[in-house]
Order: sequence, then structure tokens, then C-alpha cells
Amino acid sequence: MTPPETRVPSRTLERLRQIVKAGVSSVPVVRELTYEPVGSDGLPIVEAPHQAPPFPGATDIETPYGIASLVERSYEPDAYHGGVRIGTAAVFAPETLQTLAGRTVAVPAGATRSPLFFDLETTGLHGGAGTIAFLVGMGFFDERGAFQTRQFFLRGFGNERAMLHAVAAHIEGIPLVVTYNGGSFDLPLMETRWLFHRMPPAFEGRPHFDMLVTARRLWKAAQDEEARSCRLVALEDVLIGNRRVGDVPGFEIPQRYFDFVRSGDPAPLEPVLEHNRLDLLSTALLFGRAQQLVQQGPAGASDAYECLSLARLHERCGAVELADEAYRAALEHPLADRAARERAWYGLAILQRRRRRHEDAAASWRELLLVVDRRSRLAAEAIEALAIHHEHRARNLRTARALAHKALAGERDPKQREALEHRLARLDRKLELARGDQALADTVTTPLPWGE
Amino acid sequence: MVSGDKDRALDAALTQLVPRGLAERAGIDAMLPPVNEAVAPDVHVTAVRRLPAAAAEYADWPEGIHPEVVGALRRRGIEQVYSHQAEAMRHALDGQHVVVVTPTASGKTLCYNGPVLSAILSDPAARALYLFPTKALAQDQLAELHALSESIADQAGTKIGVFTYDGDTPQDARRAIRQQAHVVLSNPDMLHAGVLPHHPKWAKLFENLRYIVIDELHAYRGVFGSHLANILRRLQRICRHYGSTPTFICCSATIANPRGLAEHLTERPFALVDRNGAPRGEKFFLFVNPPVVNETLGIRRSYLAETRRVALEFLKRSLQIIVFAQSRLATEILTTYLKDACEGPPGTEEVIRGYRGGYLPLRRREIERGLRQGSVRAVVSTSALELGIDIGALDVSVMAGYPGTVAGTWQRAGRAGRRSTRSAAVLVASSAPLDQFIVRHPSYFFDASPEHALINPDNLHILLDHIKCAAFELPFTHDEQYGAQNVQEILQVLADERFVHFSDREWHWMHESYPADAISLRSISSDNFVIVDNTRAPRVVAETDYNSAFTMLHEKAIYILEGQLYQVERLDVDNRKAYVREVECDYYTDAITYTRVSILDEFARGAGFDASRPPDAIEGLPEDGALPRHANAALDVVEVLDAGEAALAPPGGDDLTASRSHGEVHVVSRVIGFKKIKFYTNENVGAGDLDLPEHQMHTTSYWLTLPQALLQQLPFSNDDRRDGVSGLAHAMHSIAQLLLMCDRSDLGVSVETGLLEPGGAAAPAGREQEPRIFIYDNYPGGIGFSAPLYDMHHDLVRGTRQLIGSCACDHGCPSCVGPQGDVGPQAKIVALALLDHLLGVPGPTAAADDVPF
Repeated sequence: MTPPETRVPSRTLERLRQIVKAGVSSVPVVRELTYEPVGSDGLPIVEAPHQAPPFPGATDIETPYGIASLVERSYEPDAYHGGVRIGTAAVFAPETLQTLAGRTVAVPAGATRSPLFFDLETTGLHGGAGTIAFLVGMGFFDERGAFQTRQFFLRGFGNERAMLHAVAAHIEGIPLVVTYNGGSFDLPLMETRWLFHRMPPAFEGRPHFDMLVTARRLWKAAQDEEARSCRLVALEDVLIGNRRVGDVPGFEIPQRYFDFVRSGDPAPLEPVLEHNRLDLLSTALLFGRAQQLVQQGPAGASDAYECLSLARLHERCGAVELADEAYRAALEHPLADRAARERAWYGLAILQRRRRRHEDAAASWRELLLVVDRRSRLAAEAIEALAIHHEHRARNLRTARALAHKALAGERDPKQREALEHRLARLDRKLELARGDQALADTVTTPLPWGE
Repeated sequence: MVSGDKDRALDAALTQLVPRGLAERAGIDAMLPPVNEAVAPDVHVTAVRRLPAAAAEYADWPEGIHPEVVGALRRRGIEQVYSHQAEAMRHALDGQHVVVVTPTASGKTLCYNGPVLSAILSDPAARALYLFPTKALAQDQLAELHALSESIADQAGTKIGVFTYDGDTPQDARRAIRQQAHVVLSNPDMLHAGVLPHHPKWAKLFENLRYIVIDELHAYRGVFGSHLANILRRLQRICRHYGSTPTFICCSATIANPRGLAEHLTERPFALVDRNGAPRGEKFFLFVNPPVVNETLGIRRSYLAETRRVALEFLKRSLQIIVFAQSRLATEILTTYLKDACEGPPGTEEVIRGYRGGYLPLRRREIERGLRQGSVRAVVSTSALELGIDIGALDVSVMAGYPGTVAGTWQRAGRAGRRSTRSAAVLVASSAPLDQFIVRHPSYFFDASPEHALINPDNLHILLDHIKCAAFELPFTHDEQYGAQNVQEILQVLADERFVHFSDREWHWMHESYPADAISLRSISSDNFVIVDNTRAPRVVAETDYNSAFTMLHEKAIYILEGQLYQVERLDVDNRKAYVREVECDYYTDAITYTRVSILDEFARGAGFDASRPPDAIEGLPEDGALPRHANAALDVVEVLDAGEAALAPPGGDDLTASRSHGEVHVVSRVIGFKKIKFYTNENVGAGDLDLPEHQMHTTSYWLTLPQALLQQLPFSNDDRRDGVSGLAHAMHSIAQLLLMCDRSDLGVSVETGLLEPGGAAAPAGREQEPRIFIYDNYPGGIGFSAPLYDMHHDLVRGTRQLIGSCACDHGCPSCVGPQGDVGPQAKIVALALLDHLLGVPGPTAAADDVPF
């Protein structure tokens, strides 16, 4: 390749080189590569203009825009991914999506075809016109319950239009796209690619389910953990029981592709394709597990925390009976620890209050006070809730007043104290007005479960 | 206060300030009420100009303006258009790129809103993009455009989507804006990092882009302008990709080369509209020179104290004023002075406010609101309020120090006064040479053309950054041009460094970074420092750019924020933080910087003296202020080579010929210490040493070489010769700034005294050791000042001669060669001798005295 005549004087070129180099070294990121950044001959990669070679194991697909390269793999239903038999995840229960997503996912009625699992490998994480997807991974369950992957691979920049065309054809007719963090990354990036080539964005109007959002709601809370990591490989480890060996670190992926483009050597990319397939498979298994949890209810939960998460999912979309049931299941779960029971009573109290079952809610607040640390924020909230209950619902002003006093004694936050003092003043006024009215100013019931 | 009362209050203040005789000479004594003889008028006013009120010139609505637009404007009380508005709209409607020169309050927005709304009403698919230099200005314009489009929607039922799109736009609103906005109001930073790199999502805008409006065009000079020129290259490249060819409508304050700047920024031919048809109220313009307090040393009273006095004359008469200061430091000092003088009862709202870059946005909005509502009576600002942020019409603009450019001065003066009321502007000169030159030569300011705005889009640093961005946005083809540049070779460098890859006859971006993120348009480096106040719970109170950090935030520096003093306890260079604590003290600090320049490459050299003009023609500063429009370094090289360097004397020991050059240099600078300076008296009350990292850059420079032999010939000691060269450099800096219409900080000056070191023996002559005066572009890579300065060398020498020669001091003062304590007793005489040599006058002469003040 010979650049045409130039107007940049050669002494300027040297300066240019210095400026470019200075710009690079000002970001000193030291990372240890897990592969040799050299060609397969062991020598540094020399830019070798090449007519994008076929990728090993890939099939050429003819499109009106040229060749697209497709890599196909299949995982048998009886095979295991970690501790999970793949065939067990081959479920598609569209009725569970409302609960899982917390919103309506408009899957066409009567859809039985497998959803399409979708994951990209890209040349950068920033998006924008200069970031491209060099590997478009798709997966689905066939009618036997085997998991099939279809990975479109970008052989060279000139093949992108062909690849995008082929991907769009594959998406045609699928009832649902399932991704892991696709809402903010994979799908907008694909949209940009199609728009860049002035092609219709194939995902437009197609229902999408982002498993990451649901995974956080379901599995972030865990026993003995402040907040569990919901990165896909982390959940794959703890929930599926597969610990990846020799997985490609994400930061290396763009550079491996750039090396391939320059050298034509596909070897360092093989692990990237494998990484992508595992991501697809794990997303599919997590999606299966989430659907089954909703189908089976708390009985299918593996611990009290999953019961709690399920209760909250139901509560989010207004299924109060199911939420109530799941909270109680959490309380009764043999492995429920104190933190789980606290959260369950708290959740129940709020739920019952929403349902205007004020007596039940008061009972739950009292139960909560039995398990909770008395100096905690949660205890303060419970006492205040009981004070409100006695003032407005039970209309037992003396009890309300005693509770408010109790709450004030333990409160440090000046704003909260002010609110409580305000409440006490109001209660005193009410008591003054109600003097002699036995119904309102009855004897003080024992307001707190642990007595005075 | 009704406007008649205001006029009377203004008259009273002016009477106090303006001496009777001057008022008569300016022909305005009839305008002023009789002077109260008991009060001595101010004798330090050097000029008073009355700018008469002007009546409006109207024109018919141009053909092609949509009737709905005319209707909507009528409903808002606009029945007729001014002549310049009609002319600008006519060009824009014809698809001719147009630049309109618009003084404050001349109705510039109509010049672009008219054609844009008409285009959208005729074709609802049409789109327009408005660029403002700041977010605040875009917000200001949104309100006006929104009202107009609502009015059209009510009447015609056509919904016109008008939105700002900037860093403050919520993420979830962005998609809707991309789809619905007919007019997008944004800024260069957002266009650069948020729109262009995502152009596929903006396909609808780019396919249908009819107009690009660039308001406040004059703001885009130097680094910022050089960046914008590249952003516009990228923008037009993307428009080509989507098949649109938008028309540019630019609005500029008065500068010498509005059309040149517009054409240089966009690389398109422009029509110029510069006859203002808007009416304006009467305005008085005063120059004030603080009195000399020490005749021999030429020391004047502090200009900040003088500004305080002038400002209070207006403030105590209930006039609302804006005070412009030259630096952040001066802003803070003046805010402190005025607050001290106008302290209200505790707990009442502050009537005196400071305003500058580095204040957080909420505080700024609050101050702007206070000004519009009148609760803020005086604001002390840096140039931050020079642009068209809506702060309402103020009564008086007081400038502490010459803003550095004619254009900037008019712009600041324009913040006071609107169409019908009387207003005043006062310039208080500092002792800086340029200020003294201006107040002593008032006609230079009032009658000369304003400055040229210079940009250098081909600064390698800037160019390279934007070529990366452009490659990210769309692959470059094998024969593509980028602006006027052939970029193939640059792309090859980027390919060698693995940013792009050539395949299928295209250069593809092949890097995981997002190149726009690494670029800051307001400077060449995007680094900044935050200032953390540790007095109580640590909190961030301000920020500053990397280059100012070492001079403003070194340890023990006094940092001032709205009158509150802080002392810097620690400067954490690695983490870009400065930790400060509130302090009470009676001094501020001024950093001392040491600079060394070495030559990397000489692009051109020419004779340092000019025999073509008689030496007495020194009044002839650039008569028309004309600069070569596209100063071209390469061309200069050719000229010199063609002449075979015959014009130059041969190098050698007896060479007495001074020479001028320009080229590429390496500048190393370091803050080595600081001085403590007492408030009000400006006494030097202490000093300290500092150990801060060096700052290095490659840039372009003009330099004057004075042969050893020439210096040796002067009948002075070596120390005096050295002082003379330093003094000459001091004065040249000011005249260079004047000629280039730039900020003082845009230029760096450094003197290489050769072997004229203190006490050193005379050196064997040889080019390597010859004394040189460097005037360099104070930005990495240079921003285009050096080649024009090289071309204006003779004007530079003549102007410097005039400045020093006309100075009334005996042996040098801050206004000419620098304060005597710094430059030595003979500096002025030696500098004049050198200048005479450069101008072809034989032998040293005594100081001329041709100026009355």
C-alpha cells in the first residue's frame, strides 16, 4: 500500500510520530497478557495485507453484500454445564416474563419457539461509530433441547455489511431476544452498526429481556454477603457450578482481534469464540432457572434469600398474594438466618400496610422488633410505624405517645428527632382534646414486644 | 428608578469624573450639567468620547421568509426588521453562507431564527444545528426560540421541536431529542464528544441538515478556534456522507476579519453583513490613567484602587455596574475591595458579587439571576461575562485594565447600555505597557480597526487528535482530503502506531479507545486540578486548568474565591488536587516563573532592520491593522530562499546585522518561587522558593537575534546591555500582543542573553551565543501567531520604539521597559539605542518625548 503524494513535510512526520507516541504512553496501564502478542511463527506481527482468509471451522454464507462467516456449535441436552444438565433449561414460559422483568414483555401470543440468546464481542466498550462488533453470538434451544450456537465472525472490515445482513435474517421471526446487559450495550451497539450501514435496525420493535437486570433482583442478595457480584462469570460459578479455566479476560479481546486483522492468524481468537459461547450458554441456563423459579414458586427456591427475591418480584408487579406467600416461605425456610427473617418481616409489614391490613402489619412490625437489633435503623422505623398505627388506625393515643417517646429516646438524627417531636406535640394536643373520652385515651397497651 | 433618574445619576457621576476642559474638547460639555466648582474634577481622565445615539434603519421583510414567521414576530411586537437583519436573512435563504457582525443588542438571533424557522415551515423534514461557545448561552437562546416556535405552533399548528443537547441533557431524553428536534442547540464540546462519534443515531439530523448556526464566532480564536475548525471539518465530512450540504450562518462581535475567520473555520466562502441597522443609546467612554505617585520610578497608583474609586462613584449613585478584571486574582481582589466598601447589615443579600470561571454552575446562575432582577448591584467578572449571557441591561461597565484587544474592550463596554438609555464605559489603565500605550494614544483605540482573530487548525497536536476522531467516525478513503489537508501520510503514522488499519482502500479505526474523550477543546491538555477546602469537612470549591495550577496553587499560595482567602497547604500533582484552608491575611501571592527556550527548527529568517522606511514614520502603526489573512510559514521560507539570503549579512564575527526569524522551539518553564504582595499598597512583603516540576512544550516562536558585535558596540557595560535586552523584550511583548489581538497569556516571552551573563566577559561572537528575544505561542504546537508576527516585525519594532520613546519616566518604568528595580538604571536608554539601530537611526539617542500625558 503506497499512500498518495503528501503535503506533510518529512520533518513534520517525525514530530507527528513523537506526538502520537507521547499520547499513548501518557496512559500507563500495565496488564499482563494471557497470550503471546506475536504471530504463529513466534515473530512480532508484521502488517501483512491479506484478503481476509476464511476462519477455521467457519462456513461461508453468501449474502447480497458478500460473504459472512458462520461458526456453528451444538451442546447436547444430556451434556452438563457445571452442575446443570443443559436440557433442563430448555424452557420457555412467556407468562413468567412479566414477573421477572417487572414490566410487560410483549412476546407474541402462542410463541413456542425458543428465545434467541444474544451476545457480542466488540472492538471497544465505549460505543459510537468507531466501535464494531466483530463477533455476533446467538444461541437457542432446538426441539430436542440441545443448545445451538451460531456465531457470525467478521473476517475483515469489508465484510461487515454482509454479516449484519445475515444476522438480521437470523433474527427474523424470533419471539424474544435475551441478553446479559444488552439493554445498555449489545443492542444499542448493533443498532448503531445497522444505522451506520443505512440498514434497518433489526431489533427495532422486537421484545427484549435483559437477564442482568433480573439476575440482580434475584441473586444479588445472598447469605453472608453484602452484595453478591452479578457478573455473568460470577453467577456461572455460584449458581451453575462452572468455574471457567483459561477464560479470556475481557480487556484482551479487542487487541486479539486487532492482531488477527493485522496478521491473519486466527489462533488467539479461538478462546474468544469459546468465551462468547459460554456467555450465551450461561445466560440461557440462568434464564431457564429464573423462569422455573417463578413457575414453581418458593418451593423451587434454593434458599431463603431466593424466596425473598421472588417475593419482591411478585410485589413489584402487584401479585400481593404470591408475594405474601414467598415472604412466609422465606421465614419458614430451614436455612433462614436472622438477616433473612428481618427482611421477610419488614417486607411483610410493608406489603400488609399497602394492602391496608393494618392489624397484620402491626403484628409484623412487632415480629420484626423481636429479631432486629434494637438500636438499628430498622427498629426505629418499626417503632415509628407502630406509633403511627396506634395514632391513626388503632386510635390508642396513649400507646402512640409512649411509642413516640421510645422512638425519640433512641433517635440521633436531628431531622428525625424534629419529626418525632412534632408528632409528640400533636399527640399531646389530641390527648388534651380527647380528655375524658375513654375510647381514645384508654390504658396503655404494651406497645413493644420486649416490654418497657 | 425610572430612566430619567438614571440619566441624572449617570450625569452626576460623569461630572465628578470628567475634567471640564476635556468634556469641551470632546464636544460633550453641553451634554453634561454644569460642574460644581467646589468639587475638583478628576485630572486623570485622558479621554472622553461621546458615542451618539443612532436611529434605526429598517428594511422590508426579505422574500422567502415564511408568513408564519412574520406573523409570530408581529405578535411579539416586531413589526419591521433592521437593514442588517434583512440582508443576512436574504443571504441565508439563498443558501449563501453568511457572517453577520452584530454589536450587543442589535437583534442578531432573528438573523438566524428567521431563515431556520422558514425552512422548517416549508419542509418539516429540515433540520438545523446551533452552536454556542457555552451551555449557558444555549440555554439563554432556547428560551427565546422556544417562545417563537410555540407562537407558530399555536397559530399554524406546526409543531417545531427545539431542544438543547449538551452534557446536562438527561440520558432518557436523548433518544427522543434525536428523533424530534428540528433545531438542536448545542456547544462544540458536545458536538465533538457526544454527537459526531454517534452520528448513525443522528442520521435524521445529518440527512436533513439545512443550517448550521455559529453564534459568538469571535470566541473561536486561538486554541478553541483551532479545535472548532477541525470539528467543523468532521461535521462537514459526516454531512457529505449523509448527502447534505448545510448553509452556515455565523454571528460575530466586531473583529477585523469576521469573514476571514468564518472562512478559515469552515473552509467555505462567506458573504459579510456588517452595516448595523439597530438603534443604540448614547454612551460615554472614558479612559482613566491612575496618577503617578513616584515620578522618577514612573510608578502609578494601583489601578485596582483606582478602579475601586471609579466604581464607587457609580455605585453610590445607585447605578448598576459590571466591573471587568483581567485575571481571576484581580477579580477576587476587586470583589474584596468593593465588598469592604459596601458592606450591608449581616444576613442581607450580597449586593456585590464576583463571577469567574471555576465557580460552580449553580452559583453562577444565582448571580446572573440577581443581576437581571437588580438585587445584585455590582458584579466583578473576568471575561466570563463578556459573551452574551443574559444579565439584563446594566448602567455602567468599568474595566480594570485594558482587556487586551479592541474587540474585547467594545464587547465589555457593550454590557452596559441598551437601545434607548444613556450608559457609560470606563477603562482604567494599569501600568502594563499596553494599557499605557492605549490610554496615551486614545485614537489608536477609538479609530483603529479591531483585531484579527487567528486560528491554526493545522497545529499538529490538534490536527492529529481530530484525525483520530474523524477516523473513528468514518473510515478515511485512500484519496480523501481532510479540510485542506492531505492526510494520507498522517494516517500512515497512525497505522504505524496501531490506531488505524488500511484495508479495502480505506483506513479503519482499530483501537479500543474513544478518541474524543482524550481531547479538551478549551486547552491543548484536558487535565484539570480541583481545589479542596479542608477548613471543615473537605469539599471541592473550585477547579482550574493544568497550566494555571502551578502558578495559582503552589504550596503557600493564597487562593482567593469570591473574596474569601485560602492558603494552599498541599498541591498533589499526581492526583490533580490542591488542598486549601481558609486563612485571614493581608497579602496575596504572585508566582515567579523561569523559562528557557531552545531553537529546534528555523522556518525563515529575514533582516531585522528596515531601511525602506524613514525612521520618523513611527506613527505608522499598522494603519489598517491588516494582517496577512492566512499567514503562511511555508511561503516565507520560499521568499527567503528566493532571495538567496542576499538580504542577510554573512555570518561572522563582525556581523552587526540583527535578524528576525520564526520557527519551532522547545520551551522549558518552571515555577521557582513566589512573592508575597500586600493588599492595597502592593508592597513586596516576603518571598519563598518552590520546587515544582518542569513544564515542557514544543511550540512556534518569533525571535529577534541581536549580534554580539552590535551589543559590544554600544557604549555601555555588559550588565547594562543585558538590562537593555530584557527591557526591550518587556516592551515588545506588549506591542506584539497589540498587533496580534491576543491575550497577554497567549504569548510567552523569553530572553536568551547569550554570554552577556552578569559579570561575564565579552564573548567571541558566533551565532550560537547571540542574544535573542523569543516571543512564542504559549500553547503546545503553536496557534498561529509566530508567522504573522514575523511578517509584522517592522511594525513591532516601530511600535516598541514609540512605546518606550513616549514614556515620561526617566530610566524605565513598568509601563515601558519594566520596573527599574527589576531591569536596572540604563535599560531604557540601551533599549532605545537598540531600537534606533533596528530602525536605521545611527548612534544612541536620548528618549524622545512626544506624548502629552
